[in-house]
Amino acid sequence: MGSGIRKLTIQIIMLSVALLYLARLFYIQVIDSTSASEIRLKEVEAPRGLIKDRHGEILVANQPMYNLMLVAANMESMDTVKLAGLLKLELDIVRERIKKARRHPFNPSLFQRQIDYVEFGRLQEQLHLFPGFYGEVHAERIYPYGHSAHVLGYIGMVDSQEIKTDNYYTDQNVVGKTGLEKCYEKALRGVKGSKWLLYDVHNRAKGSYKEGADDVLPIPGTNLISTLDAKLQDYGERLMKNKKGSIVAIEPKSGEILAFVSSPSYNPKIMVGQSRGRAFEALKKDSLDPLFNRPVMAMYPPGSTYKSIMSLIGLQEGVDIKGRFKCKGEQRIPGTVACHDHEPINGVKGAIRYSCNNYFSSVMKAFFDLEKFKNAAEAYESWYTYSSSFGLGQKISPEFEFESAGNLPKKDYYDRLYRVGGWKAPTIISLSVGQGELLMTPMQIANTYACIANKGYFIEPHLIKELETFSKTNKLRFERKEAGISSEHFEKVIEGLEEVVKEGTARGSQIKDISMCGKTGTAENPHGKDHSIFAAFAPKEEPQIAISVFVENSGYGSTWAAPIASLMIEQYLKGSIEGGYRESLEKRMFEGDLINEN
Amino acid sequence: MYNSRPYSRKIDWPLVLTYLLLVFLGLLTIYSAAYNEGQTFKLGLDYSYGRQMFWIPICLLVAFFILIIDVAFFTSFAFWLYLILIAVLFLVLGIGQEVNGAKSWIVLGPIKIQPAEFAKFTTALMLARYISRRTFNFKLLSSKLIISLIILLPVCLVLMQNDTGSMLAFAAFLLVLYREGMTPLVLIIGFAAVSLALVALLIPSFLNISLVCSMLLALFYVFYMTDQKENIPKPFISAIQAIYVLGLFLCVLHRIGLFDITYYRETALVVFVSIVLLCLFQAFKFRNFLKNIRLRLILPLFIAGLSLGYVSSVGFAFNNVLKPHHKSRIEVLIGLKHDPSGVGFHGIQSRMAIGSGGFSGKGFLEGTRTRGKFVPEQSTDFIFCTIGEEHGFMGSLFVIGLYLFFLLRIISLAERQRSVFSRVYGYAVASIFFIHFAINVGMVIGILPVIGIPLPFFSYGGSSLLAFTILLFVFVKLDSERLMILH
Repeated sequence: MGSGIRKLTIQIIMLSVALLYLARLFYIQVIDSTSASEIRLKEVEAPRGLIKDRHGEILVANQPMYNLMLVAANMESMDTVKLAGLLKLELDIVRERIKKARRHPFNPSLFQRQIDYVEFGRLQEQLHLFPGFYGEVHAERIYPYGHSAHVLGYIGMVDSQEIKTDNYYTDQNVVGKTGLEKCYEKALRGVKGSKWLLYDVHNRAKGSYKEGADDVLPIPGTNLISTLDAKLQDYGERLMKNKKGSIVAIEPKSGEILAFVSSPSYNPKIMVGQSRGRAFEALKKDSLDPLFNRPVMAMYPPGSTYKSIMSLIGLQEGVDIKGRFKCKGEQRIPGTVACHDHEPINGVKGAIRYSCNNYFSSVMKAFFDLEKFKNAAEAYESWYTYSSSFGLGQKISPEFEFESAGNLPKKDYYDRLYRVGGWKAPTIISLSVGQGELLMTPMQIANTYACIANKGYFIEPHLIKELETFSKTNKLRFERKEAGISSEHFEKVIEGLEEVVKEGTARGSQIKDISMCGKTGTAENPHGKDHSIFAAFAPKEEPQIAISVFVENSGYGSTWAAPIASLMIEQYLKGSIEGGYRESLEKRMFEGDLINEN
Repeated sequence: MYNSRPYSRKIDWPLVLTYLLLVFLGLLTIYSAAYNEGQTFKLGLDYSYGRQMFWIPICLLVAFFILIIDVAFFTSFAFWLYLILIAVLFLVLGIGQEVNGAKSWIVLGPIKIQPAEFAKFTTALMLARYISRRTFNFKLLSSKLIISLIILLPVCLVLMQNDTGSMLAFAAFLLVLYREGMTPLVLIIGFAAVSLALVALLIPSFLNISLVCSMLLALFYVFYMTDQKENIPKPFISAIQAIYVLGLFLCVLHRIGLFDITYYRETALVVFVSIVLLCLFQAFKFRNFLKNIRLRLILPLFIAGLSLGYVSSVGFAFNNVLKPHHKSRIEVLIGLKHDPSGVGFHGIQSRMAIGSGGFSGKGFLEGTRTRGKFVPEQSTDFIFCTIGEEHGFMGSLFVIGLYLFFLLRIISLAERQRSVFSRVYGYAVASIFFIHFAINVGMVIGILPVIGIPLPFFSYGGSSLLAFTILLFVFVKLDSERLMILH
């Protein structure tokens, strides 16, 4: 091979490398437009939807919060002690975080999250002393009323599980963790926008691209119009202060929840920003269990409040109870709960007024003895169907994640316990007075009384009635459910309930000019003093509010639960409390402290 | 008569002017890479372009001195200069300073010098000196061994400094050797070995690694055991072709799922050993290379044993010898890893910066990627990004065209030398510039892995500019005296 050819070969090698590179450059510079994107898409969080009460009062809004970010590569020597002081952090934690940020020195890392704007303003003045640090703004929740913590829930950073199940999220996003924030997450979050930004190597935005021509504006989250009445809710929370228990108030004709009080509660604002972690730990450790959402999670024996349903079942089936009941603390039917002393009664109305255990046990017994049932199991199934048509033994609201179903035992339960055919009416007779295995949530009881107020149906209780976007408002629809009772049978029961308030156990809680129909109850508590229950609706004609009040460890329904329920009703229907006696009752309720006196 | 012409007329001005143009463009590009919006031009050593502007007159001064001193200085002192630089490289191992993981810098007050840059120059001189000796003959094993020694000594020292870029630059001398009579098979097999090695890393199976090793063995065999020209037996060449084709074919089958290479470890071993033995026996039989029957039996066995050791060492080298950052760079390049903000960061950012230049670029000082300081090492190893971004494809075309002209000019000047020394040195100069250009631009546009190697005259760095200037102007001097030099 001659040297001329070798020279040529070397020249050809050089030429072909140059041509190959030019071809490659032509490809990436002229043909492949994707490699020309020197800009990066940054997502823009949509403003989260507000939550308003039924009159448009704002319950939850947004305010700016800052995350302190650090690009470690940009750091210069600085006063770590001063930084720790400014951030109110331990020096070791500051050093640890700097060390962590140094692992990816060119990427911004989150140094301190959720500093409110007041504190950040102070920090900002000193920030120039700490190159590499900068603030990133985002919105946090604020609560003008500071109540309804259990209803509203709170938001937090998404966790890896949430990112996995919904590809909408990236690790910078927040998501509703509990309550309405979680249930209506998809509406509240809106739709993220995107923004083309020019970035420098330290991931700092250097400005927008093409003056934002290709940017996509975020679609703000939908506002939730709640069914709550902010004033009534506030009033309820104040009444329940220093008491354990709950209030659920429902508008019967719509199923809208007017008030939803779980006590003890907490101010939702402590679950925002930096303090959430500490606040959550403290609430979790609290022996009074403020995180427990009593209205839908606590289960109690409904006690005497169940007797209204039992009456209605008896009336629907035409069960005929002969004779007068004049009890002197005896037990007429084996297996049932003994009755107390009361005037002679004849019929449903009086039985409700005096809450006669013997009468309702007799109803249950007679119901089981009906000829149409071949055996006790068949009768029980019929009773089960009636009871569940009032919402017992099932979750009745679509909005609560951890709603309890209460306990309405199935026939199989007794079959397993006593073998098939091995049990009869006396075995389950205490169910007729709301005891035994029967357990209900406060919301189920309120719903039952809404159903009675409606004379035979209820709408699924709910907290949100409308979704409001900037252009239109969507009304949400909730299911109407029929109780298996004809409406004419309700008259007698409602009259009995009216007498309970006028002359019976709750007569101390009467409201001037308003005929309230209610029933006291006592939930037996094997661990201590019984729980006081009152369930009611008002006014008698065209009821506007149905309510259940539970006050734990407070004894009879008439001492705490009934007065609180009556005050709630008066407040809701009249807008204020009238009369000297009522005002003193209100004062007694406000000041009553059932937690610290024991 | 030639002698009577003024000296300035003997200098090849097209080459010198191209040099000056490249340096000037380099300075502008460095200025642009360091430029920040709203900043006014300031002279001073605080900025990279300021320091570069300080170095340029020094380089021109040195160039001038080279042109006026006696050309005999370089021919006579080639050996001593080579030895001095070898000593300095040893010194760097001890007192050198580490920059980006390579312990290859000597710091003298405010000046940082990378001796490896100058070692290329002295090695080129030494190589030219040795090849120009009358006793040199490419057919002699002893000559080949001495050439290997001259090149591999600085290579090993640079490798020990952990400076992969400079080490690869020494591969430039293969082109010089080819020009001086080395068989072209070395270049061909070398290329095959490199491409197969990339495939083997893509599918790190025993078989592939074996094939790469047999390629390398063949390379050594061809280099040392044959003389030049076409005396290499045909079966040997066929065997090497077979290995290459087989390797690529099996990888394709593996890729489309018809054949799982990774399961065939033992088979692969047998295939490999038999191919190696076959081709060696064939080679010996046909060439009648070794008369001694005992040696003829021992040598294949020795080579087989050696190759087995080598087989395990490629995988071992990849996993243990290569530094993690080299490993990941290779893995990213061949698509084993996709990691935009991590190891692939340099490559993707530079590709995007170049891509954003489009056809005509954004204009001088208008590169937003450059402005964003997005590409690391933008003013040094990734300087070509700035050209691509600010001047677009037209700018790239111009710079690459200028480089090509520069390289081809040196080669044509080298060919017109009367002395072997000047020719070999000229080819060495062209090859060194070429390999820097090829690796640097190839890396910036994402064809090759990221390897720290400067783009001559463009990359910021005083000592490399000085080293390249010396390298070039010694050749300009030799060329100007070409009628006077006989050897």
